[in-house]
Amino acid sequence: MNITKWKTQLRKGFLEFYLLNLLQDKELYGVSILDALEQMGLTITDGTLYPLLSRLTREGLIQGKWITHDTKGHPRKYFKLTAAGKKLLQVMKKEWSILTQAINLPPSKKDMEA
Amino acid sequence: MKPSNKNPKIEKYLAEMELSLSGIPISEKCDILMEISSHIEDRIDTSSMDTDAVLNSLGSAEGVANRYRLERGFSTVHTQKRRSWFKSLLIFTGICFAFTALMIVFIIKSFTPFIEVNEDQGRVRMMGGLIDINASEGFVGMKMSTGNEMTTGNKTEKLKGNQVLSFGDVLKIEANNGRIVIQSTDELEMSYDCDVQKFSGERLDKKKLNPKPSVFNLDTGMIKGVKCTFQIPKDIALNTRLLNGNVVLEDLQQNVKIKITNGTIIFEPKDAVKFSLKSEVINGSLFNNSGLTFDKSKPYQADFMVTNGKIVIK
Repeated sequence: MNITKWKTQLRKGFLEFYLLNLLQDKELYGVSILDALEQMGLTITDGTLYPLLSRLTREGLIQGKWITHDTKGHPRKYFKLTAAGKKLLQVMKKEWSILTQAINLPPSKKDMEA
Repeated sequence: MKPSNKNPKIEKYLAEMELSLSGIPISEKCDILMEISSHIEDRIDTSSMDTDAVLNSLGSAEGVANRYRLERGFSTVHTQKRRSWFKSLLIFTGICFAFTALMIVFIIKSFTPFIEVNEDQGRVRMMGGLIDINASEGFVGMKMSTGNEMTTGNKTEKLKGNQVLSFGDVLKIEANNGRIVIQSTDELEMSYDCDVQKFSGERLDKKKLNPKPSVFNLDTGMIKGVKCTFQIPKDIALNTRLLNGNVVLEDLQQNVKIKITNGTIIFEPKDAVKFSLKSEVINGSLFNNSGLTFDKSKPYQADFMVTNGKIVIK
């Protein structure tokens, strides 16, 4: 197995979950989201984030709002979770918990015998 | 302050994105462009990156636009390739037009006048001289016109002479293209008066006039456009071979053998009863208006052969 490819696929699949999780309790704009992702080691290109945010917006999971105050003269679009996004995030977290529990479970008796 | 309004690189990037976002509703397109513009300004304001680095980190304008397109269910576009292909097509079309125009000019110049008729010379030239039909000289030729020889005749060379012939001599005439008129005379010497049209530009070699003790051989070889009138003493046998053209035999009083590949033999005997006729036309027609037949008892023999053309006995 190509571990690099596996890691890329894993992070790609994890990205939407992380984005929703990032926006659950605060409003962030594009560059601040990219910075947060980078801090978590989930680096994506700048040109990839915005189309992804656009899709999540169209799916009604997040919503954007243009703000002109408190910026250096140019508008910024801040994103936050919608109610549907919050609901989906809860489902995702539950699934994630199941997966991590499965990974962390001690080996079964059958496995020990093998 | 809006860098995108000042920085031509950012303007160009956004313009390319806008072009690649064709088909997406205008309100969404504006939102997308505003979002990317805002990102660029944020990056420039909050980091040490310059414009080029910020744009590089975004990726190509077309690539970013295509991600937006894909998540909306639109197909991707390749404007650069399309422009390149379109440019190539334009160049190719331009070359084709230029080539066609040149060809048309060349054709018009080469093949005009399309048809030119000169009734005085009995000559018709078509397509600027490509096809040249000369009824008076009895030839049909194909050539590229190099001048106005049709009207001025300045390429014609005169060839005249005479030769005393003895009884038993044979006059042999060979020519490539032309019209040959042969008449009998009561004089003892043969005379010839020729106009030679030198289409190929080669000089007439007068050595080809080759008198021999028993055969007077006039061989014009490959020289075209021979127009000759021969006065031949009676009882001097005549043997003529012509590739293309006409032979007109007037008032003959001798044996005559004519062979033409393409053309016409016109025989106008002064006294038809003296001739025995042997004629053959492979492709063409024979008009025998004088009622001549093959009869060895007659004093003179006329032996005619035409491969493509006709024999007219008047």
